[in-house]
Amino acid sequence: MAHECDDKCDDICRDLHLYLDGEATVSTRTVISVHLEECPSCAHVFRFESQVRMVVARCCAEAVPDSLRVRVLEAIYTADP
Amino acid sequence: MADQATFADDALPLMPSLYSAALRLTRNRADAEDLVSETYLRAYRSYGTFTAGTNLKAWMYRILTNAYITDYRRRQRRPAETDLGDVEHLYLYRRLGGDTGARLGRSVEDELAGLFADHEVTQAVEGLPDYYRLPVLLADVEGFSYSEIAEILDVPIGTVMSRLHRGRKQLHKRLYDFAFRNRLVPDAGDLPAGNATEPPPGDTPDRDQDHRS
Repeated sequence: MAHECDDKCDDICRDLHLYLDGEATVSTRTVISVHLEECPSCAHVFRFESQVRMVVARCCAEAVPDSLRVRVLEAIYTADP
Repeated sequence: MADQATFADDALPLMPSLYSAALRLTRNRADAEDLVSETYLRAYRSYGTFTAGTNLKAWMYRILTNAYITDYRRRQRRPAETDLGDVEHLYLYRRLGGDTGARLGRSVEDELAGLFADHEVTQAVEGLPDYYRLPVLLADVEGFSYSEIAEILDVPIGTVMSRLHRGRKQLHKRLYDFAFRNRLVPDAGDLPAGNATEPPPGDTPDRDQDHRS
């Protein structure tokens, strides 16, 4: 870790993505949530990683051109069922 | 069984997310529009096989992914993608997050703001090989669960997890490289001992090196 840490922090950060993905088991989630309340350093790691994801998701979102909507609708309505 | 008559109403709201993914996959608007159009046509034709009330978004993504892999990728005849090697855990955090920001009372948002431009973020995603890019897009942009991604990509969940893990690390490394090129992060030589890692020689832009005083 980038901060002074013990084995506990290592374990917590190893499950970081599982936790942020909402895929950790209930017991792991609880252990992590409790630890994050107590450990500002790990809480910072989690906030950082989660913020990077939000930036990526925001940058990847694109508006659909009107021409594409029209094209898709036309394709559907003229397609053989 | 889903009713073809309701297809447009059911599926059109998904277009922004499908188009965004298509753009990240094909890397250009014309091909992305072709891919989305083809996806909707295929989906419309086989809508009878879709079980109404189940996950339409995942079903549409599966069609999009298949169309991309079978049609688009084959047409491109790209050389096989080679493995990129591994990147350490928390690569970006160790370089950009550190504890410095927290100690200075800066929010994570402030730490990240301006390190890389929006188009650099999309470029970093687009630079990932397919086997990383697809799971990363599906998880981090679209919010699909591991089991949904496994179904969309037709691979085991363990494969989804390992590709996601490695793909995110590759993505973070690319993001760091942009921040480094933009000279918004310390030169690797300034990083705390043990954390210093120059971007690999091939990734370091000579242009920026030349301008560095």
